[in-house]
Amino acid sequence: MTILFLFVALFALMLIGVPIAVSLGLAGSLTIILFSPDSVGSLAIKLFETSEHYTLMAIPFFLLAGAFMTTGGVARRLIDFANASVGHIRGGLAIGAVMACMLFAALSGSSPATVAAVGSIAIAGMVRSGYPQAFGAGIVCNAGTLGILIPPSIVMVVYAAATEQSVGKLFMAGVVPGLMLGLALMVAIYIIAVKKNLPALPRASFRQWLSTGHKAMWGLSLMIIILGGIYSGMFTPTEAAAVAAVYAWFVAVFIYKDMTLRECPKVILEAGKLSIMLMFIIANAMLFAHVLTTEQIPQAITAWVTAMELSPWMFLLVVNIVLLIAGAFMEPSAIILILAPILFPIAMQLGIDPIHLGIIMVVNMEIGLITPPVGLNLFVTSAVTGMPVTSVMRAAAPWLMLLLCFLVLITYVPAISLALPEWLGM
Amino acid sequence: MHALRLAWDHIEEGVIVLLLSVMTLVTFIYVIINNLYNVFFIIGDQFEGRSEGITAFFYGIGDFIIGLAQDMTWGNAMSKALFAWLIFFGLAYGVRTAGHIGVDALVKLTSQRTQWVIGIIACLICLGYAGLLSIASFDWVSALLGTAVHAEDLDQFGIRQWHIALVVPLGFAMMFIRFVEILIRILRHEQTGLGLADEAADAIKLADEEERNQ
Repeated sequence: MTILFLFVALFALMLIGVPIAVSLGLAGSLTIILFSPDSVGSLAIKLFETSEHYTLMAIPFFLLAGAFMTTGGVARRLIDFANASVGHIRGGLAIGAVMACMLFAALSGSSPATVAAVGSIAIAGMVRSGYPQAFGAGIVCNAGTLGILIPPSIVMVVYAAATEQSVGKLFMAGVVPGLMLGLALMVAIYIIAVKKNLPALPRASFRQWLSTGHKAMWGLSLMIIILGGIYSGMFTPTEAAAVAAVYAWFVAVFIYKDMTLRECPKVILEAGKLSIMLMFIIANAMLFAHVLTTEQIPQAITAWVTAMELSPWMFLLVVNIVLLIAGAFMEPSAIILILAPILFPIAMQLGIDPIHLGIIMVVNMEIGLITPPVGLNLFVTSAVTGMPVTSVMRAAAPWLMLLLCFLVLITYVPAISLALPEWLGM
Repeated sequence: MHALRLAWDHIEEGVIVLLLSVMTLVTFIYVIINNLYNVFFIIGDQFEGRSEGITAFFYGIGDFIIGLAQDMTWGNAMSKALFAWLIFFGLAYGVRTAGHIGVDALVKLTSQRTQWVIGIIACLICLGYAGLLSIASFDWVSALLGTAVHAEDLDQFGIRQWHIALVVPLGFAMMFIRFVEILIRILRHEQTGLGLADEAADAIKLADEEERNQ
C-alpha cells in the first residue's frame, strides 16, 4: 500500500510537469507523513545529510572544471587534434568527432556537457564538408554518452556514494569499455563512410599533427592529473576534481587566454547552477531511497527474487530491462540512487561483482540519455544543431542498436570491465 | 522596489559564485599542502650525508608544511559546510532561472487552456513542497539552537552546527517566495508553465561563449 502510494505519487507529479527533484522529494515526504511515525524534522535532516557526503563533493568540482574547459577553448583544440590524427581516413571528420568526444569525456564527467562542447563545433564542420547534418548529429549525440563511461564520471561518483564502492576502482573499470565503445563507433562510421562515399580530409603532415597535439597538450595532461593522481593515491577523487577545476581555470585564463578573468564569475555561476540542480535531484532521490529502505522494500524484493531462484544471467537481463525503461523517464543520478539500493543486495547474493554492476548501470544510463522523453543528449544535440528533437531522435536511432549490442557484451563479459582494475591490483 | 529586487538578484548570484569558488580553493589548497611536504623530504634525502645543513634546511620546510597541514584539518569540514550552503542557498536561484529539470512533453500536447490550469496546479504543488520543508527544517534548526551543538573541526572559528543548518530553512523559504512570483506570473498570463529547463540550455550557453571566442 505504502509503496504503491509512493510510486503513484511520483509518476503523477512528474507527469503534470513538476520538476523531477520536487516530485521525488514530495512523494517521499508525503509517504513519511502519512505512513511513518518519523517526524517531519527528519525530512530536513535527510536532505541536509547529502551535503555531508564527501564523495558527492566531487560533482560541483568536475562540473566547474568542465565549464572552464568548454568556455576556455580546450574542446576546440581537442577537435583539431582529433581531426589531424584521423581526418585522412574515409569519414574522417565523423571519426574525429568520436575521438574528440572520447578525449573530452576523459576530462569531463558529464555526457550533455560532452555533446555541447564537441557538438557545437564538430557538427557544423561536418556539414561544411558535405556530410548530411543528421549523420553528424546522430554520431555526436551517441558518442557524447561516453562522457559518463570514460572516467571521470559523475554517474559513477553517485553509484560509488550509494553503494559505498571505491570511486577510483569504478573509474578504472570504465576505461576499457569506454575505449571499446568509441572504437566500435569509429569502425561502424568507417563502414558507412566507404559505402556512402563520404569525404576524407587531406592527410595532415607529421609536423601539423605535432603542432595540434602540442596545442591540445595542456588539456590532455589533465587526464594524467585526474587518473594518475587517483591511482597513485596522491588524491582522493574529490580532491582530484578540485585540482582539475583549478587547473582548468589556470589553463583557460593564463595559457590558452580564450577567457579573461572578468568572464570567470559568469562561468562559475553557470557551473554553480548545474551543481545546484543536480545536487537538489540527488538530495531528493536520497530522501526517496530512504523511504524505500525504511519500508524494507529492498529486503522484500531481494527475498522475492531469491525465492524465484533466478540465475545471474536472467537477473542481469531483468536489470537491463528495468534500467532501460527507467532511463527513458528519469535523470541518471536519480535512477542510480533509487535502484542501486534495490539491485545491489540481490546482485551480491547472486555473486555479481559490485564494480561490474556499476558499469552495467552506467552503460544503461548512457542509453537512457538518448531515449525519449527524458534524453538529455537529444535535447542538447537539438539545441546545438537547431534540428527539431524528433529529427535528432531519428538520427540517433540507428546508432542506438550499436549501444544495445554493446550493453549485452558488457553485461555478459564481466572481464571487459574488471580486467583493468584487477591488473592494477585495485 | 524594482531596484531592490535587482540588487538582491545580483547578491544571490554573487553568493553562489563565492561559495563555489571558496569551496574549490579550500579543497585545492588542502590537497596541495598535504602533498607538498613529501617533496621537501625527498629533496632533503638527496643531500643526506653530503651536506647536513641543506638536509636540515629542507627537512625544516617539510616539517613546517606538515604543521600547516595539521592546522588545516578544518579544511574538509569547511568545504562540506560551504557545499551545504551552495546547494540550499542556490535552490531559489534555480527556480528563478528555470534550472530544475522536469518532463513537460506530455503537458505540451494539451490545449493552451489546459496547460495554464496544469501550470497553476504544478506551481501550487511546488509551493506546498517548499512550504512543508521550510517548516520541517525550521523545526530541526530550532531544536539544534537549543542544544548549541558545535560543528566538528570548526569549533575554533566559533561555528556551531546550527550556523550551517540555518541555510536549509533559509533556502526553502527563498524557494517558496520564488514560486509565489511564478504563480503570480502564471495567473497574470505572463507565463504558462514553470518554465522547466534542462541541462541542454545551460550546456549550450557555455558552448555559445566558446564559439564567440573563436
